[in-house]
Amino acid sequence: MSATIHTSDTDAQAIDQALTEAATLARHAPSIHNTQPWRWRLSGDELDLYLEKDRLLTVTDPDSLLATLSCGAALHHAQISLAAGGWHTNLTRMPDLQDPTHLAHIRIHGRQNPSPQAQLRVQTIQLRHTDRRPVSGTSISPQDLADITAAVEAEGTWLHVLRPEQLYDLAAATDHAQRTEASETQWREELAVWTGGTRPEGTGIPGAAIPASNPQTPLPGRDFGHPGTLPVSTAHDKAAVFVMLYGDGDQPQEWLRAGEALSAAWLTAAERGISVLPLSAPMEVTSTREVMRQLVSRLGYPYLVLRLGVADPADPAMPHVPRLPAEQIIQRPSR
Amino acid sequence: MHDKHLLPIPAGDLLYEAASVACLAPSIANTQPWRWSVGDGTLDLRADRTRQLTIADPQGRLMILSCGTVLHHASIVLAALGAAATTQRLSDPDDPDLLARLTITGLHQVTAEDMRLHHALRTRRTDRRPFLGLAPLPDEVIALLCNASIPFGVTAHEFDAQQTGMLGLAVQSAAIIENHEAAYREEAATWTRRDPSARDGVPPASAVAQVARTVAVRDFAPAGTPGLAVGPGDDRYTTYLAFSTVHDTPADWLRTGEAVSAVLLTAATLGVATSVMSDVVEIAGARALLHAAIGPDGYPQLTLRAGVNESAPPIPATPRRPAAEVIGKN
Repeated sequence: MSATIHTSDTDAQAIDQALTEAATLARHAPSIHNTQPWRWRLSGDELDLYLEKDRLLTVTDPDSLLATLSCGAALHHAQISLAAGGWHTNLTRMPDLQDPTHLAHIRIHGRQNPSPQAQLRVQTIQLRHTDRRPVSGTSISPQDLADITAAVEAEGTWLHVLRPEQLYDLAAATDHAQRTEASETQWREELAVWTGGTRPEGTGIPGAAIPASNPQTPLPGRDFGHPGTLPVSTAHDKAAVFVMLYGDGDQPQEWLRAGEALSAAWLTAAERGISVLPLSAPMEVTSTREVMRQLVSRLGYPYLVLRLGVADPADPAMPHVPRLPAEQIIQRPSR
Repeated sequence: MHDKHLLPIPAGDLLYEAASVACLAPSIANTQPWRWSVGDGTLDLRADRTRQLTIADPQGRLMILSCGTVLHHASIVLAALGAAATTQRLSDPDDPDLLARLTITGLHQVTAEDMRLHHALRTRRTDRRPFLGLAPLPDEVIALLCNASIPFGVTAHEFDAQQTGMLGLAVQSAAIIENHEAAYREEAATWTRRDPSARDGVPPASAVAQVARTVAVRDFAPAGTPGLAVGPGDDRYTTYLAFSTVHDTPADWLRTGEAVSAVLLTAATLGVATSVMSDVVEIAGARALLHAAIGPDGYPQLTLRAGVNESAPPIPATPRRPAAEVIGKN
């Protein structure tokens, strides 16, 4: 099917709707502390993604690595929505060298066949969630791990499966990072803003998604400064696999790609009943980020560590954490 | 606020996708005896009698049962795609091959279980090797398997040790009769010795060498070299289930197929390996023996073996006919 030129009003309307739906679906993307640090500008057949300055964690994430990763995941979600609807698009990452917050530019290029595979992914996107509970004792099959690795590599990012002896380094780094952070007043204040009872409306992590007690895990879980209300089984996380997303560069462009890889990996995992938990703490402190770099023998730059495990089917469904309304994250410049 | 992007795809495309992915369903001797036609928001399923095993399955019971598995598979794909659909089981004297119609009725909120079943559907294999289990399947797992057949009005019955012995005898007697008759042998050869380019039948790569076990598994490579190594399993703790229905009409056979599909996919989500055994229900005498073994409360339709084979090498996928050959438009 060749690209068509959109002149009629119905086309314009359909395109506007498709782009709105893409940005709306992308709200489901995971983000650091559920800050949803994205903003979309929709104009005609163009959709632009920006880093939202008002929702950055300036203490926890001063270089916006984790915020850019979050936006990359949202970008990947948006692309899936457009593919499901049968829209052919052109994507430019970091289109404006003068504006590092302008992360991506999507332009509708024409029609193609709607993709049932992408439609399946649209469903997975709405189902995916972050589960901080321990995973079940069942191991991940080598095939599933290979599929997740392939999904990451297809997005130009690498995946390293941490060897058992590397878990000690990861655990030490995570612990060190959390102690360093907890000793800083500003950091504690920032965390308190985004988690627990008094979060900005539609964002942050409610107590219902925070474990009520420390899960039995080889790695310290995120210290939210207060216990939540999520019941935790006494299962031990020993069947979990820890992997690291890493890549060839350490610039926003690569972080964005890593976010797309995170989304691809997470959706691939979710379709296989595998739970994914990002562990960002060691990336938030300079010294422990260096330790993460050692874990890939300095062959690349670390972006994020993930815990993978077979979700415990006995665990009740997770409550969904809030999302901002579409109107608040989609801008339409007046013509 | 309600998200609108649930069904960006036209219903016809969704149904075509469901029909084509559903063809991964297992069927008697991998004959794939089905035809789909996509209509306006509907998907019709017909039996393809040109693919019936006229010797082993003269009534077409296993053919219609196979159609039941593909029907249930299609409903799983639609659920995973976020489409709510109803299943009508049809009986039309003017169109006797028409078995069922799926109709899209709206949106469906996909659950994690839908996703697990869909993934199981795409990765499930028939595993005829002796299972390696070091202990019987836990009772909870067997209960989950048996419960999966209840919504279809089909009973899944677990064999105890004595009944398993009876099953072994019934399988043996069926094998003796089938091996003795030239017509059976020829029909079996037709579907197990396909041209390597064929997209149906059971290729030797999926067959296992004959070994002594409590309940024998049919030889699917009667003249060729089985492709699957037997492995270290011995079927010692294998669970056997029989599916039975209150009546014995085509509608019961179709529902049995749906129930078998539900049990196979549930097993796959739990990491339980399975294969179905039809030889025992193909021969009237063996079926009667089976009937006696499980009690008089229903007609046995199919038996299934389930166990754990976690560390065994992966099994190659059996071939499937191209979607365009199986799916038409109304």
